[in-house]
Amino acid sequence: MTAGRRPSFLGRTAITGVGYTPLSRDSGMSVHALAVNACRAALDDCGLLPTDIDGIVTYSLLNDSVYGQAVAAGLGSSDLSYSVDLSLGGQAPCAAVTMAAMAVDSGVARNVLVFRALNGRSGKRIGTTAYESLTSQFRYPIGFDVYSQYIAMWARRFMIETGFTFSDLGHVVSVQRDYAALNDRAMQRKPLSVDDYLDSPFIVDPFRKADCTIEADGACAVVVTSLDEARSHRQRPAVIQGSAWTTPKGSGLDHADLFSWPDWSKNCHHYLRERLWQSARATPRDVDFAEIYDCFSIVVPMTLEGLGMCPTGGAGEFITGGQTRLTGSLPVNTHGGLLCEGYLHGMNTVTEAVLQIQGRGGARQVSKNDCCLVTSAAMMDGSALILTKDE
Amino acid sequence: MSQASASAPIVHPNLDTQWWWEALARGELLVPTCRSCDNRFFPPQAFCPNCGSQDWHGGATSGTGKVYSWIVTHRAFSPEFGDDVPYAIVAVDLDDRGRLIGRYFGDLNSLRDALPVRATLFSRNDETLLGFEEIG
Repeated sequence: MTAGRRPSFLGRTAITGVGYTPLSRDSGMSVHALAVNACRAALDDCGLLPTDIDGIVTYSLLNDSVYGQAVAAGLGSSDLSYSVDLSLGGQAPCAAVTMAAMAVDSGVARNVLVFRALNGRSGKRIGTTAYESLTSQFRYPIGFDVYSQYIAMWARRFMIETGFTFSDLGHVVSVQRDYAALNDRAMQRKPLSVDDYLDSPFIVDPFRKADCTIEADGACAVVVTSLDEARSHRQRPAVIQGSAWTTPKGSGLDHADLFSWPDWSKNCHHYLRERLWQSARATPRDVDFAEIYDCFSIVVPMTLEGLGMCPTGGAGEFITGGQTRLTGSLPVNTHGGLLCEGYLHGMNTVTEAVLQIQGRGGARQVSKNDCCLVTSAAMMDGSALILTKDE
Repeated sequence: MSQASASAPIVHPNLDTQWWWEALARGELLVPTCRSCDNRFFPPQAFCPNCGSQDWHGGATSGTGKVYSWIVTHRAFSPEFGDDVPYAIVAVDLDDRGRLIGRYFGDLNSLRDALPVRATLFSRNDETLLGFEEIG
């Protein structure tokens, strides 16, 4: 992006409809059926018909989902003028919404569905699967073969560099459990005290089970359209005011090429920071609440610090001091996060942000909901959005 | 290279990495070093990831360094490593530059930031692999 120039789709596009299937450990349903059900729900939510849809954007890993084409068939929708199938994981949701918004603003499409669907628990279990890549030959043979291990490496370095403690990690989890208790959709709704957290065994030190997201079967979807069009939809627009992607230098060859990344105490959000705030013409102080991609607990403080939502080295105090609670200065992960709601690869982080902006957060509705930060990334590359209410 | 399934935890070299594995099997640990920008990089790849140059060589290393980060796996995700738990993986910044990752051989309780270690090669499934042990 040219410095100083704001991408044209920002402030002129919006999200309206939101749809979910239930999240479960065994959906008993094909991924195709999940995808179509979530997309139908999103259309019903904002009062559109399948024939109003002319674009679909989705993402998947290792063929764990279906193409947009299959959803178009399932919806019985008409001719698509825009269709994107990304091979990405948690970096994708905010970027997928952005692609939809760019297509809308450029006139390529009018109403675009963005969805993620997977049988992530009963089917392909990405989170605990060793899958081949350019650099896997240097990890697998020594027993360094799953995602939790890669991020645990960064967690350790983050804790060394910033003084973030195990007790602080426990607070991240405990706060999100309290939110999840207010969310019928969440798969894990049991409160967890910091003491009980600290008493639980390590899976991959520094991570315990409660630090890891819950693999889930399910799907969710949103409808992206122009702000003008959005004003005629049944749900109020969540306006896309800021958006940024980064693949910083040092990102390496693939999702787990840790070797080239210089500073493991910082994830991509540190590098995304300037681009994101500049795109939105906003600062961290303008944000009322945040939905932070959290495949693992540590990503929350890393991202908050990276984007300047709290001082570097200040996330522990910020979180233990209650600032991320519903009553705090910056409610974070109001659905309980991926840690508690379940892992729809961060698409459900975006949907929660939209529900909150629209005032549909129910018992967990934040009191001030004018502006939200949403993130999609844990490690090297990723994306983020700033959403606001319509004026 | 192998008849085993793609997900088996064994080495699957490619055209950019074969030479490195062959050197390791001879007992030689190498760290690709760029002649254009002097970057020491890993894994082996066709182009220096700092400057894009193809003019690099497999640089020698003393193999000594300091622990940059580490994890201790208590629950194995692949059955292959079920008997190994708990085991540690260390990321090591070499004293002569470059960052490598290997199995840790030593007391898990002594792991700490900047722990001095040295490279040690070990064998598993008839393959030579990289590990590190505590110095002293």
